[in-house]
Amino acid sequence: MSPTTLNNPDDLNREGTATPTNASVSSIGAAGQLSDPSRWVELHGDAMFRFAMLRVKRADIAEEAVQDAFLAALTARSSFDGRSSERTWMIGILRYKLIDLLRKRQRDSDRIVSAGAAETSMFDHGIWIQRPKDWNLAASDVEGEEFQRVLGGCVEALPGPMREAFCLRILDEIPSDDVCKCLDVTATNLWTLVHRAKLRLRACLTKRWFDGEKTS
Amino acid sequence: MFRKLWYILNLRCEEADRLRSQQSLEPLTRAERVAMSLHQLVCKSCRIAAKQIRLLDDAISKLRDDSTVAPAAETSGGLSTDASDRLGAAIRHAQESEENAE
Repeated sequence: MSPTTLNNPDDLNREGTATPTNASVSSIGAAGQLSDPSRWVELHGDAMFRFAMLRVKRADIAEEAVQDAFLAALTARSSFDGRSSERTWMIGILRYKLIDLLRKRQRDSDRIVSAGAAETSMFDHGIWIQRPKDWNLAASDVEGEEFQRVLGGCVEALPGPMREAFCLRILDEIPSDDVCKCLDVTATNLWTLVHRAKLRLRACLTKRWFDGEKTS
Repeated sequence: MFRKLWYILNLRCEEADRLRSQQSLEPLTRAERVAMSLHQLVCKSCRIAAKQIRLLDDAISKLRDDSTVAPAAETSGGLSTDASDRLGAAIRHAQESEENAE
């Protein structure tokens, strides 16, 4: 039982036609040719798992999604054209597997997404309770690695339905109609979830980034 | 007409903030835009809050771009050894049954 190391002889022939263009694309696998599936877990496992965890937050479901994605990638590997990096291609498959899983889970547990759940508001009768603080940041600052890490942590800390709505609609840019179907919410509900998610992110960033790290 | 004017002049911070957050997702109506702008003109807190939203949107765009390559989330670790083994086994198994089918 020795797994063959070449995916498919055709892949080798096709390699010449694709031009590996940029060094920014991860160096994993030449364009048009995927790496050996036996190395996928080692190469992409962690990143894919983290991608899934950000969205579903339960290790068992995230693992299931990653496995589904790997198996789908295996079946579809002849369709890989090398236009994106192997990682991007894998993540693309994973994204759809996650939507499938979320949809299934939504059906199994017809839990009610309550957009109107009790929330500590920043407002009292429509007026700020605590005045917002000026972040004093430029766009380039918020794109920095450190800030992005804090933001990632804040996204993970969002409560379930808000996180799912935010990730699918805002991060993955899936059309509203599809997200509504997937999460089984109305368009208004989806909007409310996304809006609240954004307000929470803002509050979380203020707390973790500005109050926590930079006490100036 | 009076309802719109009433809306514009009576806009509270909470609603102004909601509008600003909504603006990055879908276009506002003209009354909403006017109300928000006027409110921000006189309300410093909401100007600051609007700036925060803009920065948040910038940060989110960046997170979105990165998440297609390598997710930025660091708080959750990678796969456990057991999980890696299970995934590796699943891939091997699928490959074998694929070969047998050929």
